[in-house]
Amino acid sequence: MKISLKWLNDFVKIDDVPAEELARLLTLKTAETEGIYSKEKYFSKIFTCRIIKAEKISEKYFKCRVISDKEYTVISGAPNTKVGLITFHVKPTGMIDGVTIATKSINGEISEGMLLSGRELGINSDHSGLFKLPEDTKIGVDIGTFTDFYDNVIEIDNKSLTHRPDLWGIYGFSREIKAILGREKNNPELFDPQTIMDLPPFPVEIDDREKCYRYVGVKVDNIKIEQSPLNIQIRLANTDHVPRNLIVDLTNYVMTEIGQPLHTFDGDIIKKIVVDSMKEETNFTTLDKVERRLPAGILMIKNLNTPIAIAGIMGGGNSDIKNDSKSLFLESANFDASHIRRMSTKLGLRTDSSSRFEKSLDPENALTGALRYLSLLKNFQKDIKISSSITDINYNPFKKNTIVTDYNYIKKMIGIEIKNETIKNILTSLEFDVEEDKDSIKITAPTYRSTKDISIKEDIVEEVVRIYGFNNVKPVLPRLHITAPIKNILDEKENSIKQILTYKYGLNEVDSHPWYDEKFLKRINFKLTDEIQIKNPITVDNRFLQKSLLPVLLKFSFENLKYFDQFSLYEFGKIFYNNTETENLGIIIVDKKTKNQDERTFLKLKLIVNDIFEILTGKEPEYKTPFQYQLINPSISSNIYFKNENGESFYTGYIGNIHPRINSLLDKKVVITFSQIDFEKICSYEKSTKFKHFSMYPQTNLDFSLLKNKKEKFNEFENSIKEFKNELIKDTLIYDIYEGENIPEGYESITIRFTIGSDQRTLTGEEIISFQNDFINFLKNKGYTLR
Amino acid sequence: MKNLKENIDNFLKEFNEDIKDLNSLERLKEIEIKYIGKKSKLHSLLKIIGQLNTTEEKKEAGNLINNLKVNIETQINNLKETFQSKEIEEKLKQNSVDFTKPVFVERKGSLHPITLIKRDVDRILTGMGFSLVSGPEMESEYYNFEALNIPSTHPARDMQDTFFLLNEMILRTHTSSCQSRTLEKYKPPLRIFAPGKCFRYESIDASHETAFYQVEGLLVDQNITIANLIGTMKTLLSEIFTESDVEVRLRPGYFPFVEPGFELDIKCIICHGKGCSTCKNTGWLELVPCGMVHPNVLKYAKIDPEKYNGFAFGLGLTRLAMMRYKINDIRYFNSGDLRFLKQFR
Ligand SMILES: [Zn+2]
Repeated sequence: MKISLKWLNDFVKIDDVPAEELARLLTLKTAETEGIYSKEKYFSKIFTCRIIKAEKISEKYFKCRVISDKEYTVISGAPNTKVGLITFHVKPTGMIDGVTIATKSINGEISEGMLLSGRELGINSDHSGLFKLPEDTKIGVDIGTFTDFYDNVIEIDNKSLTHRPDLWGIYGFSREIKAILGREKNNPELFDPQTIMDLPPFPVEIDDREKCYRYVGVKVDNIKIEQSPLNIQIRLANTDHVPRNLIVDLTNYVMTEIGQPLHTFDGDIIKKIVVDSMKEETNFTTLDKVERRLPAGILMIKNLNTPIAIAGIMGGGNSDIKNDSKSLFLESANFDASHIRRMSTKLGLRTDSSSRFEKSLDPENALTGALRYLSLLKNFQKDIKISSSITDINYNPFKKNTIVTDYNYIKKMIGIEIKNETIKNILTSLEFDVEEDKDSIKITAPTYRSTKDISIKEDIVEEVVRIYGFNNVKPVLPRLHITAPIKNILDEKENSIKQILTYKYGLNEVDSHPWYDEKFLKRINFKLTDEIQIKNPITVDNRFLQKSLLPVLLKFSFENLKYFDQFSLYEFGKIFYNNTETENLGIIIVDKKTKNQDERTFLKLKLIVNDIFEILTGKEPEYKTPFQYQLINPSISSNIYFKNENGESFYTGYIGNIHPRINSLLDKKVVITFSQIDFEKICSYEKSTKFKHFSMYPQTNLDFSLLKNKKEKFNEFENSIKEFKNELIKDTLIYDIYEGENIPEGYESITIRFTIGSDQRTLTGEEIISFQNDFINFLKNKGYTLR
Repeated sequence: MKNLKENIDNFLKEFNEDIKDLNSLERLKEIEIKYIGKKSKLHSLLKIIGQLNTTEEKKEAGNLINNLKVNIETQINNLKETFQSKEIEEKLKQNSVDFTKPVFVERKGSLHPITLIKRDVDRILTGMGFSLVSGPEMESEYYNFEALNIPSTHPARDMQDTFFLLNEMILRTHTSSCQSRTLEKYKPPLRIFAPGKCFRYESIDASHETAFYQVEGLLVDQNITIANLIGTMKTLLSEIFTESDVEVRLRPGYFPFVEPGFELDIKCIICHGKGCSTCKNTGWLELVPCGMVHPNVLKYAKIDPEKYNGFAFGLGLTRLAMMRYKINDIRYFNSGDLRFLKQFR
């Protein structure tokens, strides 16, 4: 939204306030300003002039003498250059759109300054010839002295106006400025409808009253399609419109001024206006000459049965003002905001009109819009003939919102002492009606604030505090009750595990999108199953929410392998399935491939997983069966189970090396091990730590090294060792596994350490020897060889 | 007696001669044995006492010899100490370590910058009495919109901002979705904050991401004022930016779940208000959308808005991380790129 300050000055005196100060005040009290465009920073020394001599010096150029404040020789390349033409001249050292115009040589001739087209002036898009001024224009006059050319335009962030339908016109801002500066305000001049009351109304019928609240129309004959007066064109140009002709320009003018979108139809075509929704899909060509497919249910303006405009969005090519139109029908209506927004989104067609209607405009403004248009038109074309009365179909007259509250509430909510009178003054300056009662005040909002903005007492607080000034509210820390904290075990545990993974094991934490990258999935031939699908994915390759953290961590590994040889990544991320999400931990380790690396990397990750389980639950998990999954090597993998205090085992994740077929996609020879742990599940187990009494007598460590056939699974081996029972055993630990020199092929040497002792006494030498013999005998019976 | 004195003199002379060129601890031990050991010269001197006649003479001789003994012992002990400390020093010299030698870590871990900044915000808000809560990323439209006073006709409900899922759920567009969930579960008074990942359907560039982090704050109690909101925000931001007094300003802002709603700006931390590219020459950085909890939000959670009120605020964690670490491209956060990630520890 662009606010021309010269235009704003029509309604509230601001020409004594610097633009920067106005912008600052608006930002702090009303809506965010994005910047100020000052035309004088980019244009200067532009004067009216008349061409008094024009000599054709080449195919393209004229050598002219022009008279402005004095005579100049100017070379012009415009085809419409001719003696007698009145136009604009920029003097040497003047500026056009930020470029300084020097005296320079064109076609071998000296040109003092330059004659200007509409586009060069930034008034319209016409670059076919010099900008033409009327015959009665005074010569040698600075453009700034008789027009609003050198305007300051404040740009407002439209997003900050979504809830303020009253601020979609310059006049709306004058109300704000009036309250902020405490000044008087003028109203725009309106046509008096009484003068045409006796004329017959124009036939208008609203059939879909859910979507059209009000329809105001009037027919005007004997109109002329001509250029708008210079200053109208300049005001429109300064607020981002392209002037076309007076009839159309005034619709934009009124919209920019009071925020009411208007539409003019060719009056000779329109017989009867019918406002109704389309029963079925249709094709319709809008006035921008684009044929559009309209959905069923869209609200249309029809001439009898023929659609002539998409209500509130854009007129049709079959009914708009032509260069030879003699008559117009003016529409100033009010439509259902959410319908307009939905349709405009559906059609992908956003216009100045739709972006206003979708904000819930004040229906009162529909009438004002029509009257303002007539007043302006009558002003510029004295000979028009209004041929209908103001036809106003208004089925649900809008009510003003009333709020009952009290001064104390307002003060209490803001947290400041402020005089009742100050509150009342602020509200009245914003054109609220304030009725004071003994203990309460009744506040009535104006219609233009009643459509959606002001409805509850909290809204009144906002009005008071913003005008009063947020900077006048002293910050105070609240005095609060002490309450028990809400526990968040998952977050706490996640933090502690992150700490371990990063600083103990040297892993790098990553973060990613929750959806798969199907391009990558194709590359690794990963098959989707029943993933949750996104209706509107950001690209066609991102349609599914991830059900596993493996693909993304593998993808990151592939990418990082371009720069690094080995690394380890982890992510705490959500996985999605069965309409639920669970927090999972994925860890991936990438190592350079060397001898036995498959086992080494697998065990490295196993150690980390064990540590995580021990920290969170106090014990290690169980690795029971190989894990079958499309990217995992089934021979180097395992499910991870956790046994709870009742001895029940639960699946909590898996660990495994990446399938060799994936490795073959990589240039580098690496071993990749991955583990995914259902973090939520393991966090649900409480770790219980209880002090155990320890013996006061010395304990003895006894180490036994024995040979184990590698074919025997380790957990089976451990289970058979566990069969050795002796009351002296305090602790059993396997602390070395060795193969290689001096160990027979197919075997590995295992060192077991028993810690033995008694709580009642120091063990005697005999007891120790007897223990040793018992265990050696046990091993013999089991068939193990002692080393 | 005279003989004794002469003997002592000679004893000393000889001793002094012996320790003159002393160069090792071994030699000192030999000297020790020679002069004060069991079969030493000193012992032979003691024999002289027996040869003396009077008790007085005996006593005097005893004293002399004892003095001599103490004298020699002291000297030997001193020498011993000198030798020992020299020897230790010698050993230390031979056994030195070059402290400039490099050390190697096989893998140097890192934490994601979001984790680091979240940790900081956690610490501050927890210290201010707020409790951390979390909500799902896959959220119902009810908690993401309706319960926050965003009806289905509201522009924020448009397809263009939200990821919709085929199972009738959405990916939450803000952590504000935790507001109603918490209000339903815990009764006021309460103070919570909800950090988490949010999703917006928009095209990705250096400053826009489809997935980013926010932290939502919510306080519901009795007699809470706008002044309280400003005070709390000022304190929070001063802690986050580790400045004793961050300058803030409030502007009107519109969010359906607060009324009144505000945009809270802080004085630009780059140019301190003079105007620069970061603050688009305004001198201010738009940082915290906030406001007083809309009575409808309380009503949705079955809390009486006449009895309780409060405020809510949102902090962009990704944005804070970008500001703190001067990260110029938001796309790094979800890239998994170790060249980026390894910088954060
Ligand atoms: Zn700055």
